[in-house]
Amino acid sequence: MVHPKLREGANLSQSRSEKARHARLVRVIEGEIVPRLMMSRAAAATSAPSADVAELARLLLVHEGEIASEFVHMLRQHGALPERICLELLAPTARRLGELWARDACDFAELTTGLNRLQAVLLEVSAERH
Amino acid sequence: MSKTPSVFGFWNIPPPLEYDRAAEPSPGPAPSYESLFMASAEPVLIVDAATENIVEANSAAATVLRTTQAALIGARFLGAFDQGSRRALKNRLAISRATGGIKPINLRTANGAIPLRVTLSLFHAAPDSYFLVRLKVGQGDRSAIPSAVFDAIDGGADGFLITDGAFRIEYANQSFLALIALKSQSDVIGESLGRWLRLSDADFLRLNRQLLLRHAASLLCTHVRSDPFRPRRVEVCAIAVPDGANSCWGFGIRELARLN
Repeated sequence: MVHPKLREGANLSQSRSEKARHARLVRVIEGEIVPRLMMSRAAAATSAPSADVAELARLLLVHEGEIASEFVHMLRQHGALPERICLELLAPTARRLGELWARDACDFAELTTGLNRLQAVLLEVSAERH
Repeated sequence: MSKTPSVFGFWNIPPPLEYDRAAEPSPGPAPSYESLFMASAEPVLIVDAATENIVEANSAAATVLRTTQAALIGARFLGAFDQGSRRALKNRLAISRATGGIKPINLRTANGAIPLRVTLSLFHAAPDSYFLVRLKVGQGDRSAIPSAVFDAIDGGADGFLITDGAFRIEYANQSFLALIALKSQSDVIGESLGRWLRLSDADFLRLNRQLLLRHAASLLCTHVRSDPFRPRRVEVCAIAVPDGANSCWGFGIRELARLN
């Protein structure tokens, strides 16, 4: 059986540490995170690719080529025409990969591999067209 | 706010059965980070690292510097401090540029020579770099003061997370808990973000590298694992708070279905 005074003391110190944690959270959120997120979002808003372009670029950099092909195939199944895929997805994705490299978000080897995979996807889409 | 809709409308397909959200309190509107920044009680300036001009200032900073926000924006950062402080500040800007450091410095304001403790840290929001400048007057302890900004984030419609450098969750707001269909903070604290955010190990490595090198990761689209039959598509914005042993990552998570 814990003495009530000890329990009270433990509760008090728990409440103090909870208050200190909350104070740190508030300080970090208000003084550090919110200003940085504000600037990051503002910067991204000026150069945001479409969700599909961002996703395809990510898949090309991170996964084997088949995954990117599957993604494009899925879009085709939902009615996207090959012409639109080429002009509105594959071309901006190539640009996106270049931007990612320029801002050091991927290295040269990843960029080259990603572009090779993109070229393979382009050939597949072109073959479907003819 | 950036909108990144699908070109092909694929993600606009009506969702299948949803878990029971009726029992959850409906989240408030998504507050913009800009309005939260302006409402913040923490005096903060954002300074362009290339020109050393102030590009953003909240009203708390304007109050501390005894001027107006309009007068601060576009003004020379060094001009906000008295002549004696400027040389030390210039040196600190150079150090911060080289190291990204966050160490505080004691300065006096140009208007009224009020002593301030100023913390500088460099961050990137591609393609530009900025100094985040926090101003502190005296030894005020805000632990007992309620924060409207914290309340807006905790109850806002966007997911918001803080993790440590190993992506272990330290704080998650109500919207993120709703997104992953959990009710309590204690269910997520200490857990790895990878448990819910569908990113591969390679993605996490890339994100980690970007946060360490550039202190920010631009919007990335992925899914949140909540219901295995309906992963929810989200847009993630991540930033780093480099502070030695207390470094942490902050995440804004927005559900894309809500945008489209």
